[in-house]
Amino acid sequence: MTAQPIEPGPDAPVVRVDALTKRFETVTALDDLTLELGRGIIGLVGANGAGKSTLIKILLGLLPATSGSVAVLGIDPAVHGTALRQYVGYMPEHNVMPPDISATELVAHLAQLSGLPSAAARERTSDVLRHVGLYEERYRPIGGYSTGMRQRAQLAQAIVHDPRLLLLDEPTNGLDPSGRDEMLDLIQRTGQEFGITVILASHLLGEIEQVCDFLVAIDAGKLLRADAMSAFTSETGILTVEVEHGRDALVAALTARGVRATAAPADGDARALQVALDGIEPYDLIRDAVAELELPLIRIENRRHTLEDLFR
Amino acid sequence: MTGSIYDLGYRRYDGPRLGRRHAVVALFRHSLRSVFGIGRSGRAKILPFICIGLPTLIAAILVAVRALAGRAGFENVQLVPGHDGIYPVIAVFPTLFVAAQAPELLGRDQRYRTLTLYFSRALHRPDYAIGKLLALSVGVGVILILPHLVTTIGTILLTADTVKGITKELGLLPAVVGSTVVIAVVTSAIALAVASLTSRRAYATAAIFGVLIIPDIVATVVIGLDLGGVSQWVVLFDIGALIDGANAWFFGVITTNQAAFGSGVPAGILTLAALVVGAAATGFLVVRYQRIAA
Repeated sequence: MTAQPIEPGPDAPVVRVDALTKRFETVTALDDLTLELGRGIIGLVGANGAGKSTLIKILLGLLPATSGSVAVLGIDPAVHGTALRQYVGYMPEHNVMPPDISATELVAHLAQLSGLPSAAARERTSDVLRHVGLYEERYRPIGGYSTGMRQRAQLAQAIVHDPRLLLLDEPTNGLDPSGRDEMLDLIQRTGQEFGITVILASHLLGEIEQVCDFLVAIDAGKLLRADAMSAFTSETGILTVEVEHGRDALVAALTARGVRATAAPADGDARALQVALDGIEPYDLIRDAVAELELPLIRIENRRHTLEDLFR
Repeated sequence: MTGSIYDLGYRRYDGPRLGRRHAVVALFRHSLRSVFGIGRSGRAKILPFICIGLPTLIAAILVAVRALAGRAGFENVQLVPGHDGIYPVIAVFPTLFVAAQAPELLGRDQRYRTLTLYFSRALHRPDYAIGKLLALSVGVGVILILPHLVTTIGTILLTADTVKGITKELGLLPAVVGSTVVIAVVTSAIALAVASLTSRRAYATAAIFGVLIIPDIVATVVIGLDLGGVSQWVVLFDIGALIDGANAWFFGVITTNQAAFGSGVPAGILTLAALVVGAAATGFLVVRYQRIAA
């Protein structure tokens, strides 16, 4: 057999998923998902059971799709799983590090299982353990590590073979706030400095917002939205105005001035109204109307989207 | 190096990625090392060392006994076990070895769910099972082959005509290699199949002893009762008898296993049954790893 080695296509999108459906016996985990992802740090958000882990397993070629097509780095994971996985790193959700061997031994062994020759495996092991801040502890048994150190060792095994794509499943699980910040910082460096495309699956929107520049939201196996992070947190084009009393009079006065104002605030506050910011500049008109009615004004605020809006 | 301690920055890897075969070989080599306790604590080396050392020592003693007995003119010198009879003498050591090392090979990865990290790499699930089986088989093979090697060296040295001694030993080579491979693989496959069922080391060790030893005791009793009919075929469930029968078949001698001998079942059939059991255990192991959660 003289088959060409399967290698990532240089121009292929990192992930391309077309009409992907995955059905288990009783549940549909992924439902007609279509998605194309380029390079960057990509957040994959969704509630528990939304299908994040299933998607990751399919991208790794560990689960077959029920229907639809998948290409990771231009390679079909269902056909060339072992070749593809040489270029993909995976950090599972739970701690899966055996306690009785050293980080060096485990990571170097795993590097070879990702296709690296043994000398390169040893060299890169000491490199990545330094990058994740475990250089001093690298010969100590993992059982003596703190949770944060263990998690960083688990990240090291996922990047030891210099993957083109790194899949992280809830990487801050079980970490205390400082461990969490360290991990997020490492993930950001991995994506930006190391130039490895990261897909970060998490149900913690704050983390995603902190490190990701692209976001994929899935819910019940369906794609909710995929867009640049900035698009999710941009201004909404809605102004919230809050007055102590006399809201309805203000709505009437603003409407008379030609401003689209409604007394139906999303948060159910009886003192707030919303003003659409389409075309006209309503700030002076609001000031005039409030002054004329002599209403006690509390605030005028430009509302921003938050990631939470996605799951409302 | 200028002795600087600056962060070198992240270095890319542009070297070769050697693929699945390399991954399986790496898994095999790593497993083989741990089977012998290499790279493990001193305590982990004790049992492998005993299991390799004592059979070799026993073989050396037997060679010496044969030499002395021959020189003293004893007629029954042929009764001292040689290549054909060494396995039954040392059988306890491979059994001890697999009972201790098979759970060691599989248990850790199961217990700590480390399998996830293996399966997300350049191997398929069955590759993992096969790599471990090869490693344990080679481990058992070393235990079995060293006594043969000592016997061979001893025989050649003790034969007055060296060429004749070498010729005689060469003639036995197929039987030595064949019996060693079959015994090593079948014993290892059974031990790993049992060990794959639990991540608890102590249970696995006990279960392997049970599977390798208890059927022999039962079969020996049942066949000893001489109930007639099909009762002697119970020997087919006696793994100890099957392996001993296979050893006897390769060397063309009569089995020394009580149950195998008492059953009257031909050694060829016992050998075939040993191979079937080995294949079934391997198949079970592969299917088990195909399905195991990771």
